[in-house]
Amino acid sequence: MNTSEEELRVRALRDAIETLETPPLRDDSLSRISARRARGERIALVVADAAVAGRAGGRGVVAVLVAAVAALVIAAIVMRRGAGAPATSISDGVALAAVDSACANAPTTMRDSSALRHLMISAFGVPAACGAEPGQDAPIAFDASQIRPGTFSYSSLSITDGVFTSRHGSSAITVSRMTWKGVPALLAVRDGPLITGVHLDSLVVSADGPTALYWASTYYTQHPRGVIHAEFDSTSIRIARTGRIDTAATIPFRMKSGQLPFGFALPLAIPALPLTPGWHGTVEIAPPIDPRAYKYFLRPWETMRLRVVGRETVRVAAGVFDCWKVQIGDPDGEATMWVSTSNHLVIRSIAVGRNGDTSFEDRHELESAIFDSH
Amino acid sequence: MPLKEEATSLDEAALIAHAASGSHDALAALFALHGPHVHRIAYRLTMSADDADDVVQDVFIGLPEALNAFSRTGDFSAWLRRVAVRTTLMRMRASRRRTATAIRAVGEKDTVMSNFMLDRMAIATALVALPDDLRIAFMLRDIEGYSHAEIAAMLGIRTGTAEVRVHRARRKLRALLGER
Repeated sequence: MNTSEEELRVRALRDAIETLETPPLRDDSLSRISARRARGERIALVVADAAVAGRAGGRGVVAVLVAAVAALVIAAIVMRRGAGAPATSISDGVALAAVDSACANAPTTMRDSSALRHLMISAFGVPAACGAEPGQDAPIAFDASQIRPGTFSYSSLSITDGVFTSRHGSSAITVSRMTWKGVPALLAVRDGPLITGVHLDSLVVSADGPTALYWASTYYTQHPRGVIHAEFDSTSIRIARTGRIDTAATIPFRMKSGQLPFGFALPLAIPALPLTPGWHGTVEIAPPIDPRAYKYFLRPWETMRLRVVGRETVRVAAGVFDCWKVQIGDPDGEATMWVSTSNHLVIRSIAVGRNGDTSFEDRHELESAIFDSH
Repeated sequence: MPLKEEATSLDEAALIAHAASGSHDALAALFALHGPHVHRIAYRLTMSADDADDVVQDVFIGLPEALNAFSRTGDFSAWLRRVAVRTTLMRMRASRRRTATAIRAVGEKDTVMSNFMLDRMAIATALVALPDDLRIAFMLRDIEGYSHAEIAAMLGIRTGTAEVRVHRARRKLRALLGER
């Protein structure tokens, strides 16, 4: 094809694309912007071009982790526990059913003692429920008693391409014990500056294993205000959404014990890990929520590989802590968490990675920890 | 510069100054003037209405503070356009957007359509099917009119890489459209 032919083709294509309709700007765009700014929300825009990458392409990042950490930091919501929840009952055996489901789905090769270790860690106790014999590598059970109720605040910093820095406001996670329809449970509620306008806010899990029981989310930037809530059982998730869109659905999904959205894995799962020198395993987390939240539970779950690689003293705003240094990595990137050896909280996390030509670094640190007295 | 155009520029300069100092009304006026352009660019790059809406939110929430970096003698529209492109790129990179959603959205539209509509749907579907890096390069070059060097600067890649991406995007689009 000669140059003029090429130009003609490009021009024809351009003309055709110019005829494509762009969806209209939403009527409430400006009011949402105003409301978010009025609440003190700020976004650091990139106003300069990126430096030329040393290499084209590059591996992807631990995108889910980076985004999830950011999502955790920017989450902002106040829980409306039980508001408008469907009047359906949760089976008392929900946790056991989820474990059964996980066992049924476990490949045969994962039932040997070495691979079992991974499975067990990934599912927080599933192998024990599957009848695994404790041995040298005793199954690591999810230990909910290590989760101490309280309110924990985190600060966060994102650095893009080593140059562009966004400092996020504090976010808070409150963990408390409760009973959910007769089941001993843990409730985690997240609050903080709103950036995305769409995020999880609260999750109830069974106390004997981090199995999701109820999830509620409020979308303050939507008008009318949007609310999504979901109830889980061993075979399905019942989701109802109100606000801009009123709808409800039942999605077939076999929740496994230990499958948690990343932001909730921090307060509800990581503290329960029996970290010791050399410990390693995997946890499954959900990708971060996005505006297509309705499809949330249909998206693939991600696996994080964790390994205790050392023990270090970490100084953050909340104090000085003796920590397990836990490496989180996969072929696409890596992150590091420092988990307190005494209170089991995540004290600091640093996620680094690259997506295409852009490098990311997200830092997350404990600002304060107020434990409940009882 | 024609008088009317000059007056508009002066007005805009005042709006920019007021918006930078935190005036909500000035920000609203800038939104009215430039919001649709930001939205259109974001939509063309992402082919997702939701993502485009998110970009608009990000850009105008961050705009007052970002204006400190804007040279008051420069072309604000062009500057904002580049900010919009960068913001879109950042969001796409960070969210690893799944094209399947957009493809499905295109496919779920009305079933009764004219050939013209079908052609447009085919083009839209082809654009959605393009890998993000190719679509971005193509849109910036052939639709938004940036030079290869400008694209390279925005994407943080070499000029030659930008040229290759544009070329590959055109070739792939033609293939997707059955050499139409």
